[in-house]
Amino acid sequence: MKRLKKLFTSVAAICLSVLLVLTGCGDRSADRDGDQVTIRFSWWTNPTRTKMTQEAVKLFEEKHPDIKVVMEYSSWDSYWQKLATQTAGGGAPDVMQMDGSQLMTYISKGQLMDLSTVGVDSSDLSEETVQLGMVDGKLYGLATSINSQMFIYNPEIFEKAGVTFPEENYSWEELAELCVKIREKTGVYGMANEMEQTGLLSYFARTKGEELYSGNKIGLSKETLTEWFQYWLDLQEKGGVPTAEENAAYNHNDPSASPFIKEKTAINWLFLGTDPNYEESLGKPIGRALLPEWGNENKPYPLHGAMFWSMSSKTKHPEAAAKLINFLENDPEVAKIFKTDRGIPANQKNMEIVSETAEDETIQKQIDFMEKVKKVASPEKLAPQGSSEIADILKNLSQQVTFKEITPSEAAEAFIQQGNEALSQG
Amino acid sequence: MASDIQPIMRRVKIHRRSRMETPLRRNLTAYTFLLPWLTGMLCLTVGAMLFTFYLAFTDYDLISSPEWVGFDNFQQILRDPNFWISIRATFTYVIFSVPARLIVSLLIALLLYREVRGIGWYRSLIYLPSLIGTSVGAAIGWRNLFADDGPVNAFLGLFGVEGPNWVGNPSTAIVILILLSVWQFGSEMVIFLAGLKQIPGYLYEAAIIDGASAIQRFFKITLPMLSPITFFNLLMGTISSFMIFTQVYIITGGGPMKSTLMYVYYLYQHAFNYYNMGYAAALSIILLIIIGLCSTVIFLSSRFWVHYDG
Repeated sequence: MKRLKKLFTSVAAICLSVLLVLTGCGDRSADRDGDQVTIRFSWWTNPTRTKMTQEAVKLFEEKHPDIKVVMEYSSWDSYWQKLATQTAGGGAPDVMQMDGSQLMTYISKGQLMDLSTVGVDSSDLSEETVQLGMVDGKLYGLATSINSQMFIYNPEIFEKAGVTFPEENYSWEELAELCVKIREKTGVYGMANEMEQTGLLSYFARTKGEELYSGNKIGLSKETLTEWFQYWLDLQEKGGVPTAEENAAYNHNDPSASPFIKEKTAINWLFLGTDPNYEESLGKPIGRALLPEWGNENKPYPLHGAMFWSMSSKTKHPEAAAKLINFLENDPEVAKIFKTDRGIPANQKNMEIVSETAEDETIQKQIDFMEKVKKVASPEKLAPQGSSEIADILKNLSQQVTFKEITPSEAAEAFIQQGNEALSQG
Repeated sequence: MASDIQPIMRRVKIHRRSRMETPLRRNLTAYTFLLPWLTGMLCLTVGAMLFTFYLAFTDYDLISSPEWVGFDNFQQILRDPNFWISIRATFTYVIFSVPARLIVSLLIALLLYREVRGIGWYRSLIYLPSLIGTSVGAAIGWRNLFADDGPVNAFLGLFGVEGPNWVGNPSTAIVILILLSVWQFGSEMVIFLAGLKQIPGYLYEAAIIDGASAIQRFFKITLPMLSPITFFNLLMGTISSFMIFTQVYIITGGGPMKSTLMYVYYLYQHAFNYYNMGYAAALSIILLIIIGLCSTVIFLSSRFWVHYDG
């Protein structure tokens, strides 16, 4: 019995000491340490972005010795899992990097602060750029940077085919003809079959005067959708884009596995920002071009918020959080550090600074391209909740169309029905 | 009478207490050593499992709090065409990959059973793929191996065979996954090898004296004597095959045309792409039931083909 007792006391002692250590930890990370305020800041990252952001935060802490910033960063996938869990537990970071596809989810759950009420300064941004993060007149996300859909192309293949990329406004039909011609002359496909890309479909809709979403529903008409599926199917038949099997084997989200890199396609659709990766992997200079019908009168070109700064509605230190957002968004020193890692700076003065100080030719080209886009673009609406499922629905239907299991009009009908179902559950 | 019984009772009591005490004390020490593992298991595994059971009856998107919906998730799942597609794909995978892996691992175990010089090296070398088998790197390598212009098709080309586009073709994509699974035969092979060494040599000697051929010896001695090992490998292989995920995630992404939409991958999509945590929890419980049923069937069948005595 005595030994038993001894065991119990020692176990109890261990438990107690563990408890003490734990509470000790808790004390240290408490909100206030003297006069210093601690706020938490999270972003999804890549290795260079981690370094750049850490540098910027260090600068911020030097200028604001009364504010301490705890940094939390992770990769894209784990970022959203972590953020959702933290939010559920009421422990969302005070300042967070947001993505346009997720904003609506957090807004509708009342998790984000109206930034215009806490002294966030957006005066150096164009009105259209500010609008990107606004819902019902409230500013929930301040665009850090803007980017846009675009085509990149391989000038060498173009030369071989004896074609040039149209400088003026051109139609979808002309794009199709261009692809077919490249194939006939060089044996290289015009581009990958992008039937499964919601982003490009959304743009296609805008050129037809429609939107992919209207509120919490699919906003596309059956006719436009049928036209979309038919467009790519015809192009596949004519050899302008790869066969169904070849296309299914491509991983559209992995630059290193892209057919463009292997010079199997001449044109590639993407968002500005990943273009330098493609250029590097290809090992040759690339051309940058606007999508078809960019010059239409209804301004179909979407201005896209690459990322946003948001603030938790539960934050205890809105002033400190606002100071951090202002610093990250508007400080010229920070702009010089960030360059175009998050996209083309939304703050116009900073964009000029980056453009002037850029040693890299690519950055200059990106900024020039974005200037072109800005002239013809109008802001894009935020995607509704549940839109992540739409991408998978479109992908599956597209594969069925390319493999000729279903017709374009059947796919259009199925897309509207399945899409609306997914959005209503969102 | 009472006075007679009492001392006995007392003795019994004392007897009982002392019998209780020793194991208790002994176990307590063990439990103390087990404490770190037990805490992990209770908090991280059992706790999460119980929470999953609760979530299966709720609508939960991670951000707002779970909302009780009763059996709604289960009813929805049964009406969900993708659920049935994933069941079909997963069963196809299990039915082909498990026996294929068993046969290959047994054959290689038989090869490596012979005592030749440097056999230890051969065994380690052949076991190597299984060490990295389920890793991301191996899956990426596998994907490149079977690419349209990859080494496999180049090899087939030597014989004038034009290989299919393995990853892009709905009927061959699942073949890649099955082959990858077969390639990871190592742990089964090691267990078979250990089992082979357990078979007493005199059985073979007796059989040879009686004039049994090598094939007869294999079917009449080796296979029956190995049956408990085969049973173990079959059971574990079936359970792990139902849970295939990494390979699907990296190589095929469930496509083309959902031909490799494996169950756990589908579950993952709902949980972490669409944030339908309740739905995903219900899916995982259905998987638990399916695996439980399959294991039961294997257990029940074992009475007819597993021999435990030598």
